[in-house]
Amino acid sequence: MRLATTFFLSLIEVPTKDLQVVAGDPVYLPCDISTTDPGDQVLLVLWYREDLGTPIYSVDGRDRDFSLAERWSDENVFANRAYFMPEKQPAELGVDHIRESDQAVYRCRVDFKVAQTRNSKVNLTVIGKFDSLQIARVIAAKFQSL
Amino acid sequence: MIFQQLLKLIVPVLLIFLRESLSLKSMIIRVPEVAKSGDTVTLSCEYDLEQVALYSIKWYRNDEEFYRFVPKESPPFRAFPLKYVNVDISRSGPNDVTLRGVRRELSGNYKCEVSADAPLFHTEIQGAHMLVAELPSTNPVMNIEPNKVEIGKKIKARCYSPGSDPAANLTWYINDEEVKRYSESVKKFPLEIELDQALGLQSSRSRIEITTNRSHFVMGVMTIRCEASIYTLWRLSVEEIVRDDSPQLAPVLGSTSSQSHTEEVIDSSNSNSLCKNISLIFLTLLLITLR
Repeated sequence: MRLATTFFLSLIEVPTKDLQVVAGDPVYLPCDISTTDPGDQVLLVLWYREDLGTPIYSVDGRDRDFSLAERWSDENVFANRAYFMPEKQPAELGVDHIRESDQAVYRCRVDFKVAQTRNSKVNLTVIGKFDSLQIARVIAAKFQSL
Repeated sequence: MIFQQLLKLIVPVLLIFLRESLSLKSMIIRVPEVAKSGDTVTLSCEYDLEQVALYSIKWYRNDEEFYRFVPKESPPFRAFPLKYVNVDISRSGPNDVTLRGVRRELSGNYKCEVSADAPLFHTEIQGAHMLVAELPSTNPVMNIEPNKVEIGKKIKARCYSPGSDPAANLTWYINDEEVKRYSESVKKFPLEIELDQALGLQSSRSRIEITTNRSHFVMGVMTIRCEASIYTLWRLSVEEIVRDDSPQLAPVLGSTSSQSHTEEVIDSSNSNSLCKNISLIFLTLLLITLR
């Protein structure tokens, strides 16, 4: 009974990107803030960890030009390790010295003046230093056996 | 070691539970579980920002925004032209969004996202599923073969409900008692659902076979009802009767008629005796007058 109804649903899902990073390295979380409408503008960019709660990073450009937007980073999450790069295509949130505890799904929400809100997700996997060494050893062993 | 591992497993579960219950406490979304195609539906979202100003309310259908309310913007509301979505602006606001003439294409997951204002932009999301049903265009149709039966013989009953979405469920009742999966005297065949590819509608067919017995008939009549339903949204039934056509058995006839006969006999004997009495009176009267 449910099958036929789902058949008619247009399934629009939040685009999700998988990223793997080795602990200690920087990571760049993409977030498209572009707009095709010249009359439109980005008002606010919010980054959430696991979908909801209090954002862990925000770029508030509601009362000023977006290039002068107020940036805020949660002290308990990325603190001063994070920096927003709106000039990149797409825009990115750079985070230095990734920790194993940073492994999570992050959601970026872009609020426009006119356009629909744009949500996108990044599923971040952090490979521990020890794990990455082990992977390197496995790869090296494979090469030797060839 | 085992304890530590157990703790590792339990703590995240507890945290998720805590977070869930906290967000649930402050926010309630109300979306009708089912609606009829063409209905005007109001979705509502209740929240408690605990004295922090509201920044935005956003409504999504399957993750696509269709309405938002941002008090600081002018106008504070904005509706997006999603296919089949018809927002009634006059009946939408910071807590509700009203959709006019919903269609079954609008079945899906509806989410309300509430964000408090700067500096924290604390955000909560709640979602619920809504199913928009297309009801059958006509009543269910029933066919009983035969509609007069000798006790002990079989009856076949068929029921059909025309195209709907989702398919209608068909329930049988014999003398107001629901026919369960299988009983000794009633065989219920599985529900057949047929999809009309062009319309995307499904018709339902069901049939039962009754081996009649005396208990099926009340005053010589059996009532068969087929009820078509779509969840609790819609319900319609069709009813027909089957008559007991058993030949009137001799001993049964005999006993009843003999009973009525005996009564007659009693009656006649009574009247006879009355007659006798009257005639006796007459005779005595005659004798008296003759004297």
